[in-house]
Amino acid sequence: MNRIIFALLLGVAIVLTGCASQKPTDYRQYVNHMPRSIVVLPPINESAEVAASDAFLSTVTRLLAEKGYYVYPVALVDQHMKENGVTIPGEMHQVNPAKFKEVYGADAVMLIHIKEWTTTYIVLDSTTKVTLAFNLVDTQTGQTLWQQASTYAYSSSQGQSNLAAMVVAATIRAIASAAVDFETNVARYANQVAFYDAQSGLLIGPMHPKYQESQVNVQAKLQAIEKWEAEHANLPSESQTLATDPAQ
Amino acid sequence: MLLGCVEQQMYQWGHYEQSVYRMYHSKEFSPSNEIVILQKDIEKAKENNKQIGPGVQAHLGYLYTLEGDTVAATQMFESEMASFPESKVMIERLLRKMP
Repeated sequence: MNRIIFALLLGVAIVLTGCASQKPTDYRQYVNHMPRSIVVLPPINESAEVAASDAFLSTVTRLLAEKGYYVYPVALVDQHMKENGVTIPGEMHQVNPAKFKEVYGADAVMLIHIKEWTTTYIVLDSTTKVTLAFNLVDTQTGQTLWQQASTYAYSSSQGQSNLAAMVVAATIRAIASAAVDFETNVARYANQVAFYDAQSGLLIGPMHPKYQESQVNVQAKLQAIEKWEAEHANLPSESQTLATDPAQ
Repeated sequence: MLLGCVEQQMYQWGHYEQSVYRMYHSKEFSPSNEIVILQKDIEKAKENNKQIGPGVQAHLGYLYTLEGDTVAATQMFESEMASFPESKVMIERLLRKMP
């Protein structure tokens, strides 16, 4: 059942992002510094929703780990940092990434920014709009390996006209049968779309049984960005030719 | 191709997510209650011959430290390291703090 749910979610993610003319995601740094272990820091919450940070911190581990990474225990790391005088997410995000290698042995740090979290209520329906920025940073070089910035909308009862969204809503309810409340459902949904997006999501990590198998797909992604860059490197001269030669 | 990253789950998670959430968001957060819940989850995973998710055993170890049970905490931390060698640097640091 879970497998079907994932397939449906993934399908939705693909429909949402499947734009052919877009620049392909640049996975080169990610592949060069493929992390095995990731420490997730408590999100920086710029929204007015106080439950947002806790909801994200609690739902991020499972989705990340199932993608093939070791994920450090989020609450333990948070408490450990607090004991060491780094008490708020804003300060934690400022810590030199190399420190996470030294203290925890982490290969990468996942930084999450909650930019917006607004819920609109119309009669019985409520729609929550969440704007997020994810950054996966290499602890050895400080380089960004992967980033994703997006707005996700999650409705308590999706409109009849949008079948894909209805499926997602029903799916989330099914997955979240044991979940604590609405905020965690929203957070889980946004994390899931961000991480599992076929075009711009996370790569399959080294702890995943399909890691080796996934390398074919990874090579294709690397070639796609090389090709795009080669094509677009020529573009200025082409447009110049067009501009100076009206006969074309 | 579309289903390329659709997988069955690698790990059992029990009530880990809810437990983390409650720690931050529940006024009646009780380490001893969470210990009972997570200990059961870990035993259940063992019975089913499934691997418990990364961090769960370490989290339980942390809950034991809150209760002052350093013997059980040490055992859980070591168990996390045995299941996931990736946690070695962190776990060794935690174990050094144990009395």
